[in-house]
Amino acid sequence: MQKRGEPKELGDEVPRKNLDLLGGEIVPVNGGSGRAQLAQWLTLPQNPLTARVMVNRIWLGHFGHGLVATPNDFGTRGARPTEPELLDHLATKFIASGWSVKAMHRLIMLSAAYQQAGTTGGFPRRRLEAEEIRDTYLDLAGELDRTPNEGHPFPKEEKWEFSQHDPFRALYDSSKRSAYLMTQRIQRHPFLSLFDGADTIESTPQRHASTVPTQALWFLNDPSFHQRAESLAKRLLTLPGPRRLDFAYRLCLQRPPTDAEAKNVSAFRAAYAAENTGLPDSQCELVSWSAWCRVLLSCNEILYLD
Amino acid sequence: MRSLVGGSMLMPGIISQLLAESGAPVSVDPLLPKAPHFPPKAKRVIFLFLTGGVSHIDAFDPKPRLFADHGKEVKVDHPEVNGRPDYKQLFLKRPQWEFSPHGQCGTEMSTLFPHLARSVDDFALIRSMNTSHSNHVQATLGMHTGSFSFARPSIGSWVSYGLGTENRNLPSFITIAPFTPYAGSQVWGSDFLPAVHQGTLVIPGDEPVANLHRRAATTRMQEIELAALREMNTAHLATRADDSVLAARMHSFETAAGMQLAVPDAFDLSKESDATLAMYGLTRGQTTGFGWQCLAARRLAERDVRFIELIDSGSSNNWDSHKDMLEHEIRAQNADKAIAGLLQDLKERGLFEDTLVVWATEFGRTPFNNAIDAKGREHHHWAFSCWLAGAGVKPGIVFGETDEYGIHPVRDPVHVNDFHATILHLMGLDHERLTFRHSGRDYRLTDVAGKVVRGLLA
Repeated sequence: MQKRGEPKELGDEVPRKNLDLLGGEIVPVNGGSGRAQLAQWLTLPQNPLTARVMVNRIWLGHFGHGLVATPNDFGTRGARPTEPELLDHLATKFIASGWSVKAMHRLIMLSAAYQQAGTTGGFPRRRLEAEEIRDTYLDLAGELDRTPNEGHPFPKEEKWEFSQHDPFRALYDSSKRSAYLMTQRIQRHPFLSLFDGADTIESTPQRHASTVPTQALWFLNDPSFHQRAESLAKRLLTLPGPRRLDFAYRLCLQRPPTDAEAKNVSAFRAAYAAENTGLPDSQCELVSWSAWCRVLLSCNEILYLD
Repeated sequence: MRSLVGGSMLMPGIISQLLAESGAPVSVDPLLPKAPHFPPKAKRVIFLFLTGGVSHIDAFDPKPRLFADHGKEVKVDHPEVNGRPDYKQLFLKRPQWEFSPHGQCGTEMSTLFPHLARSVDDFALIRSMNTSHSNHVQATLGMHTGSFSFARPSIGSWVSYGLGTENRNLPSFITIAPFTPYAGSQVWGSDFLPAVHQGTLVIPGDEPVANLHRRAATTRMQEIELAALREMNTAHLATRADDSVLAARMHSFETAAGMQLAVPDAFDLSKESDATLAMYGLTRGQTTGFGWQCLAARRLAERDVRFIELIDSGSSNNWDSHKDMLEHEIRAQNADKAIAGLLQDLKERGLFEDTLVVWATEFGRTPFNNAIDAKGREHHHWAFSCWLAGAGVKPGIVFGETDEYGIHPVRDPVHVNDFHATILHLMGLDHERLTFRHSGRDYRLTDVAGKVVRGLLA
């Protein structure tokens, strides 16, 4: 034991072991870092808790709510499972499949319950999560870089002079998927934090979806959002005029526009063009399509999954 | 509720009507004003946080014996010096500023804060503050969240959660900070409380709130876009009328459009008189410094922002004067006149009666150091000073007392949890009833501790 974490201030020798509260088994020191032993202990056949927690998380992802409403608390203060037999059935299947997450997805998605969920209102409407919003817009703009990240350009270790007074701070933005964004503990990513991204301090099993005006300001004025919309507009302008609207609706909303919507878009572009009298035609075209793309990308239909 | 956009383009009435018909307006709009637990003394808080650890014994807590016994060895079992090489012996260190009585009340303050000393009749000085950690990050977290280890909702988020806000064109909780503080955004984070209650960070300068400047070329163009968006969303809502969240998001665009005008107006000091600017030690056109922050705070208070926090510096170049206590003078030059000006201005405008002003730092500094000629002081969390002023606070008093050297409180100790309980009390909130269910239990700002300090109440 190092007192106050000081390597020079040594206290009593303490064997490596599990928490006393959870059994206190000794973990041999000669077996590497101890992570493998921790994993083995967590997945012992006589410990079904881990499997229950995991299948509940997978269920939560598919249905929008778990069989246990408190996914991070299966203890005495947590909620009781609504279908305990189902939870145990899935947990048993999960262990029997060799802890295959993919097999669990398949089992759930092939079930009658899952296939009815969309039509019977079983899945609550949800807003896209922060990472999904970012990736969606990059993709619609044709700018999403799907190659894996090579690692962030962190400063070289010999140049580190960080302290609590001058901590490391960086963003390392890119066009890659949000899964590759760098996460910092003391500084939340400005976009992810604006759209209710996971807390960087504690485990976040479920996201809130806040609706705040600072988010609306992002849609109105953020340079990167305007950039995405303009890129989408440029994609549309490569198509012959009559095909543009249909393409945009199918791409963004997975459906063709209604006749009324098509009329509204024409009216919108005419009104916008009337404001843009100084610009040459080609530029005016891009400006008004970009503005309309901002509207399309801002609408509730794109942000919320029914 | 007021929309600055208004007019025929946006028809805000329709959305309000949709919200009303959805039957759950409270869940839709968690920022609507809420009734406090009992009649409040204060409607809003201005929380001044001077970061780095302001020395109590050099500013607020006179210790004649510390002057007299300078250089004398003391034995103290102190967490900041235990186990540190070169800290085997500790010697008392005299303050570098002289103390004298001020105001009608005669409270002694040093020459470190000459302007603030003249306002001593306006605040209740607490000389027996104590906190639970001697490191910046944890103590800063503690002063903001009541928790010294894990991130928890900030006090501003708790107040926003408890009371909502009157002005929907401005956020309910605003933190104005020129640099990132210790513990980073956890200082204004809402943690497990709904994200609407998180503090909006304002960095002094040209664009105080992100994405505030209209990017569409003209106002008219933005109106055309907003109208088209509303039309799309209204059609989408027609078959989903039971979902209040969709209508709430439509409404948020109206509020955002209002904020584009209301926020820059709140931070535009150009219409302030020369006399007012001078009161805060500001020169015309200046957009930085604690004077700017304090005057902006008064303007936000006038606009009924519920909780306004000002942090004077960041995690470096602050009050953490390990090397030389004279660095305190540089920090005081930034803050002293600004704070005195704020108190005076609030009084002149009648805002002092319903605004609570809190002055806080994360801990004090050691009355001793490891050498007789040491120039600096270390962190000291056993005792330090803070003050409260304004609505519901007994003015011109000293509360609590430390020992002859300012090492320990000896009378009426006030822990950070007690400090928080008292602030909530002045806002009409019972700190034991302001709870949020999270991880299987009800959480409070004061966790399982805290007592309202009755002696501070008017």
